[in-house]
Amino acid sequence: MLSWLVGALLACWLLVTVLRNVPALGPAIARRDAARMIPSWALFAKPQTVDMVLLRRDLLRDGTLTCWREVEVAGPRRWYNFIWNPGLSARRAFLYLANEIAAAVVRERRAARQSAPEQGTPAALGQGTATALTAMTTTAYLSILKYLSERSHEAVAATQFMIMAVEDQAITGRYAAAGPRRIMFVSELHRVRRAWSVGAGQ
Amino acid sequence: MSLPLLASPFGALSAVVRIGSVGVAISSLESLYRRADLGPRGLLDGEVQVTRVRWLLPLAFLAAPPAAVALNAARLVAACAVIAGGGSLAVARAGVIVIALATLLLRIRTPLGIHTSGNMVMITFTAAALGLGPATPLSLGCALGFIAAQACLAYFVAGTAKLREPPWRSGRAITLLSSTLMWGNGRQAVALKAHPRLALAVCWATMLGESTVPLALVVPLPAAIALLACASVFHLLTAFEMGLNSFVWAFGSTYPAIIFCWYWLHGVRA
Repeated sequence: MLSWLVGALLACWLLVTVLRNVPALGPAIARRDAARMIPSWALFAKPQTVDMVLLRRDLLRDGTLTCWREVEVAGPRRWYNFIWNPGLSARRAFLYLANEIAAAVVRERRAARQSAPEQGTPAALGQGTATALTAMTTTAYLSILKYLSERSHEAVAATQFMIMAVEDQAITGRYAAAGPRRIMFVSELHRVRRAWSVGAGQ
Repeated sequence: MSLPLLASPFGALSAVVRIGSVGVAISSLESLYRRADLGPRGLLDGEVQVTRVRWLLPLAFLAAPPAAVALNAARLVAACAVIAGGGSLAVARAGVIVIALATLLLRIRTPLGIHTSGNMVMITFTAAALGLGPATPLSLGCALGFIAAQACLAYFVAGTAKLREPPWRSGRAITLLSSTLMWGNGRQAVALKAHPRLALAVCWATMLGESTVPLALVVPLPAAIALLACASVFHLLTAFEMGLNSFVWAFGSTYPAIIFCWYWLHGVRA
């Protein structure tokens, strides 16, 4: 009896996975799958064509606003990563968070274009716009903000982050401010609370 | 490991979980090596992520970094036990249940940075735990059939989804991927940009290769083994070129299940 139950459970799971991988049904199932039990198998179908780079600038306690600088979420790739790749999870986590914020911005821009087509597509992304408000309610935004806040030194009073899309980084090397790039999102400036206890500082 | 051994439900499932456990041990060690990533100063911190849906709030205790470290340590110990003693039903059952539960809890805690290989590990070990629970030929066979079906679905969807995308059909996708620091490397990107026909061939070999893996269930056994060997080489190449080290073990662990299903479909019973 128990064996038949196992069989029935696995058959249902397989059926839902098949439906999850039908392009027309996949997004609706994914939205209800908070435990991430139903995988999408379409890996790399839409190839990531750019690297997402995390930049931050800080408002120091003496009133100085620093320059934008890159935050390295993990070290560079190494030759032995084919067997041992401990930095991959952190890199993938940031890519996931950056893509989540970028997707929220795209949804907001599309909604703005549909509701007021005469005003055209809003050019600005993030800071001081409706797209920032939308993004700020996502766990992706709060995760990056918390990550940066916890890594701030004593002199930092407030911090701001930017997500930049950079092409051909494997060829040109690491991010350089002068290189070709596209701003995906700029956050608001948030007060830093290292002993994080309630929500995002603001 | 002899092929006829894979016609037996327990022999095949034991091979599945022992190969998969190598990958689980490596990924758990990687997490423990970079355990700062699991805490407040890391991107895999759970404090924000457990607030993403209301029903996760009773599981908020998972957000604490020691909980993540303990779960990874439990996975590591259980994986080592399964690798060493997976031929024993009691060891395999206990080890696989621990790995399955720890994997599910870690995914609930931080669903970030999980790639397809992580999905396959979750599928494999959850199904194996369900099969090894009753440990009857029927439950073991259902678990193996499920793992094989998911693996074939994964390859088929990966291949056909790429076939729908213009960058893959035109051969640009592999060059674009190679040009990113995340998945590529400069030497490979430059070579592919200089040889667009090579890039086109690699794209089509990937799409057709992935789409045809499910044929392993119906073609003669030597051809099935050759198909799975090609898939293994593909995963080794992506490990070297893209750093996808976990795919080798996650997908390689499903091959004994596919061979078991081949035997079953062709009327061979152990």
